[in-house]
Amino acid sequence: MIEIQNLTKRFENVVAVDRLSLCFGDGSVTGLVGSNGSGKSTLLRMLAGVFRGDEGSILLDGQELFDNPAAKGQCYFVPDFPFFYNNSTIETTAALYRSLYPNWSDQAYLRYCSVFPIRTRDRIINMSKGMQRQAALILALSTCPQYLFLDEIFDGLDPVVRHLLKKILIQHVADHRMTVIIASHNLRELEDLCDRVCLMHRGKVLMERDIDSLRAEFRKVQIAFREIPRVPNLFEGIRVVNVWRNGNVFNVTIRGTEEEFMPRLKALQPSYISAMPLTLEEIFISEMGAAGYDTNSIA
Amino acid sequence: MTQTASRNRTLRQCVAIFKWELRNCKMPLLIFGIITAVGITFCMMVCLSAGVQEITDRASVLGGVRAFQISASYVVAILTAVFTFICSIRTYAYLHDKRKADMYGSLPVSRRVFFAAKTASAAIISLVPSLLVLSLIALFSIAFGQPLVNEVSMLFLYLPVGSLACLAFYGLLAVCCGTTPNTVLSFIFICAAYSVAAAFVRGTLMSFVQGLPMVIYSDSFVMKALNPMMAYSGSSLIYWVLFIAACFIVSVLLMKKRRAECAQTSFAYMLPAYLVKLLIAFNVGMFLGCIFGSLSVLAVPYFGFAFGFVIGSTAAYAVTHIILYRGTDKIFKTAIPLAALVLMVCVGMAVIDFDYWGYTGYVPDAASVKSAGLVDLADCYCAGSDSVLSIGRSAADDFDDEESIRAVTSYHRSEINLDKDESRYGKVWLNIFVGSFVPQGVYERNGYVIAYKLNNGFTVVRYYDSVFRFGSTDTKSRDLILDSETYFRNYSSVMNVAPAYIDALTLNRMRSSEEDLRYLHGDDLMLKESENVDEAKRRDDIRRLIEAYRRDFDAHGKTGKAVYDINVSYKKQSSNYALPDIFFDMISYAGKDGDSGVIYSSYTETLQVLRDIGALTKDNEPNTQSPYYYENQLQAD
Repeated sequence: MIEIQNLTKRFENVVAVDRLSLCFGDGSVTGLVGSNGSGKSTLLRMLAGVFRGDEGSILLDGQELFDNPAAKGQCYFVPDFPFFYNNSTIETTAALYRSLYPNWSDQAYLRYCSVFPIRTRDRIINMSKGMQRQAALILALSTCPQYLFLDEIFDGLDPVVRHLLKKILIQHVADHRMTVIIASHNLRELEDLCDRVCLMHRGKVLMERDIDSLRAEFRKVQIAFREIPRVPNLFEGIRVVNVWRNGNVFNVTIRGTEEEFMPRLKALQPSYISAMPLTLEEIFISEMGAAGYDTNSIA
Repeated sequence: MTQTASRNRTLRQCVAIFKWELRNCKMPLLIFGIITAVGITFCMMVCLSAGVQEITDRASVLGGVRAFQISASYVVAILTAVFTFICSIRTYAYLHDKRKADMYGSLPVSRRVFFAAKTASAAIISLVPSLLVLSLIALFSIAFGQPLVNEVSMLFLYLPVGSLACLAFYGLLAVCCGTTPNTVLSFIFICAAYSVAAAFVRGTLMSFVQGLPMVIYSDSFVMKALNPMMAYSGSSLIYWVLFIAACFIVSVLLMKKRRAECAQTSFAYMLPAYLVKLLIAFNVGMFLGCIFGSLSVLAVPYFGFAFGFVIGSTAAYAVTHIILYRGTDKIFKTAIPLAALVLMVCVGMAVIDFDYWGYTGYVPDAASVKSAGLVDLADCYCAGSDSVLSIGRSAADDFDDEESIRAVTSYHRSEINLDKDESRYGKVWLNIFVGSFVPQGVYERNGYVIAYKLNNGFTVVRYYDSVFRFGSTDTKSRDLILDSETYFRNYSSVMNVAPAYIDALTLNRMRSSEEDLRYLHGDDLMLKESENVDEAKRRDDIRRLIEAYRRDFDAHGKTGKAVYDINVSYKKQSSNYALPDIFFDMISYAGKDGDSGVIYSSYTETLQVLRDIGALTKDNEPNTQSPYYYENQLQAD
C-alpha cells in the first residue's frame, strides 16, 4: 500500500504538488487525471523516487520510499519519454535490470518479448515512439513490480497494443495484486482500465473516487420545452453542475441519481426529457469547469 | 548475515553498473584504441627509422628504442588525459538530463552507491587501457634491452593520479551543476582562472614583498590547488591524493541531497558558480588594478590599483553572473562574496604596498645578529637540499664575526634600495612571466640568499634574484663574503663535490699573477678521460689529488704563493629523468658544472700527490712525459 501524507513539492516559486494526501491500496488501478501542470508527472516521479518531496512523506508498505533501494526494487516507473542509450537494445538493458531488480523474471521477459511484436536485438533508439514504449513495457513487466507507475503510457500505442496492454495489466493486477498508477490525458482508455480516478488541479486533489460511483453520481440531461415555464429558478432544488441552453432546449449536467432529480424535472412538464451517464471526459470537463478551469476562463 | 547479503547485493549491483557503462562506452574506447595505435605506430616508425643509423650498432638501436619509449608514452599520456575528460563528461551526464534522471533515479540503487559505481567504472575504463598500452611499450623496450626511463616508469603512477584528480573534480562539479555545458565550462574556467589567479598572487608578492623566497612556491600545490590537470605532472602527490579523496567524499555526501529536478537548470549547488565568478572577478580586477596602479591614474599608485580592481572585478562578476544565470536574477543577493573579495584584496594590497608589515624594508641591526650568511646561488655547490630556504637556513650560521655581519647587512641594504623607485605594479607582469615561463632552475640559480640567525633564536632568510633586477649594489661588501675562505670551504664544488662525480680536473701554472693570464694559456695538465690513461688509475688519481687539496686548504687556507690553478669539472647528479638530462645537455656543456681554486706553495700534500702520480717533476714543473700533460696551441706559440 502506498500512503502519501501532506506531500508538497515546489520548483522555485511554483508549487507543483500542494499538501497532497492520498492512499493507493494493493491490487488497484488508479488513473491520475488533471489539467496541464497539475502535478501528475511530478507525483509519479516522487512515487518512483526520482524527486524528493519538500514536505510530507511517501510510505510504501510502511517504508520511506526515497533513496530506499529495497522499496524501489518493488516499483517500476515508465516516464512519458523513456531514456535509452544510442546503442541500447532490449537485451542489453535487460542485462542491467536483471542484476538490479530483485523480482526480475526471465520467464516473464521471454513471455512479453513474444507477446509484444518487437525485435529485442534492435537498437531501441531507432524504433518508433510506440515501439519504444513497448520496449519500456517489456522491461517494466519483466521486473515483476508490485507498484507500476505509468506516465502517458497510451501515447503512441496503436489500438491493438493498447488493448493488449490493458489486458496484461488487468491480468497482472488480478494475479499478483499489483498496484498501477497511470497518469494520462487519454480518459477514454483510463475509463476501461482504472477502478479509481484521481482528479488533480494546481497540485491539489479535486476529487478521488471509484469510477463506477463517479459515473453513477453524474447525469447528463437533455430537456426541451414548448414554452419555458415562468418560474424564478427553473432547476431549484437540483444540484446542477453545468447548464447549456439552445433556445428552448437545455443540456444540464446534474450531480445525483435519476430518482432524486427526475420527479422535479418532470413537474416542469417538458416536451422531451432524457438522462444518460457522463463519460469520464465529460466529468473531467465538468469538474474542472467548476474549479474555474474551462475554455472561457483559459481564454 | 543480513549485512553480508546486503554488501554482496551492492557489489553485484556495482558490477552490473560497470558492465553497463562498459557496454555504452564501447565507441569512445574503440576510437581511443585506434588513435593510440596510430600514434604509437607513428612514434615507432619515426624513432626507429630516423634514430637507428646502423641496425648492428647496439647503442644506436637502444637510442632509437629509448626515443620510442619516451615519445610513445607521452602520446599515450596525452590521449589518456583527453579520453578521461570525455569519459568524465559521459559518466556524469546522467545528472544533467531529465530523461536520464528519470531512468537512473528510479533504479533500485542508492544514489551514493550509484554515483560511486559510476565513478569507479569511469576510472577503470579510462585507466586500464592506458596502463595496458604503457605496459606494452615498456615490454617492447625491455625486450630490446632498453630499461624504462624514469619518466615512463613514473607515468604508471602519475597517469592514475592525474586521471583520478580530473575525474573526481569533474564529478564534484557535475554534482553541483545542472547542465553538462555549465559543468564543462566551470571545469575549464576554474582550472584556467585558478592558475592565472595564483600567478597574479605570486607575481604581486614577488613585486611587493621583496626578499621573500617565493621560488619555494614554484612547484608548490598552492600554485595548482584547483587545477587538477596539473596532477598529471606528478608533483605534490600527497596533495593530489587528498584532493581526490576530498572531492569524492564531498560529491558522495552531496549526492543524496541533490535535487534531481535540477537537471537542465543552471546549478544544483552554488559552489562552482561562486568559484568561477570570484576567480574571474579577481583576475580581471588584478589585471585592471595593476595597469591603473602602474599608470598612477589617481596620483597615488595604490589608489589607482584599488580603483581598477573595483571596476574590473565588479564588471567581470556581473558579466559572469549574467552568463551563468542567464540574466540578472539574484545579482545583488549573490554580490556579498564580491564585496568580501574587494575588501580583502584592497586591505591586503595596502598592507604589502605600504609595507605595514615591515617585511620588505627589514634589515636587522648588526648588534642583534648572532651570525649571518650570504650565498651567490650562481656560484654555490650544495650537496643536500638545493631549495632556497634550506640553503638560507644553513647559511645563517656561516659568519659570526662582526665585520662579516656588517658586510652582509650592508649588502642587504643595497639590495633593498636597488629598485625602490621602480613601479612595482608594473613589475607584477614581469614577475608573472618569470614565475610562469622562466624555468625554475634558471631563475633559482641566479640570485643571492641572505640569512641571519638573530640573538633571539629566530632565523631570517631573504632571496633577491639577479635576473630581472637592475642597478648597482654594494659589491665590495658582497665580495668580502664571497671571496672568503669560509665561503670557498662551504660552497665551492672544489671543496664539496664527491670525488666520484668529478669528471675532469685540470691544472695550469700561475705565470705572472693569480689573476691575469690564467685562462689565456689554457690547461697544462688535464686529468680527463683519455685513451692514454687507464680509467681506474685516473679516477684514483683524481680522488687522491682532491682529498689532499682539501686537507691542505683546511690546514693552510689561502697562504703562500699561488703556483697552480685547479679546475674541477663535475657531472651534475643525474635526475634519472631522461628529458631534463637531454635538455640540460643541450643548454649547458654536457650537463656539467665546475669551479676553480688555487694551489699555493704551502700545499705540500697536494704537490706531493701530483709528483706521485707523475704529473709534476721534482721541481713542481709540469711533466711533459706524463700522459696528463697537455701541450696546447697557445702555449706552444
